[in-house]
Amino acid sequence: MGFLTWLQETEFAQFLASDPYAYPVLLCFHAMGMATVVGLVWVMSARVLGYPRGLTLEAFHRMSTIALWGFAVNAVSGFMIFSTEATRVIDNAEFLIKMAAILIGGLSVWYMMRTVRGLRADAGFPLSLKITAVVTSAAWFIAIVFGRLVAYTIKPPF
Amino acid sequence: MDDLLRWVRDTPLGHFMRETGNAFPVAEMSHFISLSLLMGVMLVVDLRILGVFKQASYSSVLKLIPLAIVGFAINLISGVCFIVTNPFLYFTNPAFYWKLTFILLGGLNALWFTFAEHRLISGLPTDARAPALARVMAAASLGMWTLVLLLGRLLPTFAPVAGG
Repeated sequence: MGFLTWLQETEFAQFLASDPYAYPVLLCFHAMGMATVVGLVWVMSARVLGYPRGLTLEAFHRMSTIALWGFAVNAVSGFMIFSTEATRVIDNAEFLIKMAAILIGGLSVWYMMRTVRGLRADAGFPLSLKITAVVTSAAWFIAIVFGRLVAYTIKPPF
Repeated sequence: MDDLLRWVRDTPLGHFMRETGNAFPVAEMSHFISLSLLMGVMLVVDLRILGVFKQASYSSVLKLIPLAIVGFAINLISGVCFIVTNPFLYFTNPAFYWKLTFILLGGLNALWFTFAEHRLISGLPTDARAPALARVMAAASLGMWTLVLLLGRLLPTFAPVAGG
């Protein structure tokens, strides 16, 4: 628990928690990043599942680049939010399920991107890739559901 | 106005939202999931018109629009569920009025696109630039939906009454 206590008591984490603007701004970045990464991942998954067919693989790669930016925004804003409440969420089951879903969702997006990159433009997608698309979509769905639940289950500060 | 808000609060849906334990969190999850779907599709459609996904045909990208409509519909339903839970919390909040304004503008923009631009853009060859007006409206669309999202996220911050 030493590191988490230290993190939460750093001057920066204290500023984020107490400044009237910092926390709402963090929430804004986190919501925008969420919509960007999850929305684009769903569109990419839909493409792997065959809808819409005319969307080329080059466009798919462009989308994955923008989705990665969304993910980066959320990793940074998410860590900053975490730093203000680290000791209160670390044993929160909903938070841990959210993190697991992001890990699974992140790895399966990475696998999906890597596999699509190796395919010829007009080749069909193998079944394993389609299953990955379903797992990816479900994992990010679960991440949002459990992220919302954290707000209801987190221990109060005092 | 107060009478209207009281009536809204006392509708069967209002009672249901307040008296059913998980109704509000479930509405929130639905709202977050569908806003991600809506924003994801709008990003792809608007950025295509702005020339970012140059390799994808216009018509293929426009085929995603039904997904955005599904996302918007779920947002609308879950949003109404929030409001009927405690309409006074929303109609005393300046950020809520701004959010409604930008939803209206974004919706009008989408209608204009559907009736005035959709067929023309859908028929453009992949390497053609979209007309300047369509590009301006696509940029406006991205700006407006982003503001809707941010104002929504900031509703608790601007609530004059304490809110979650």
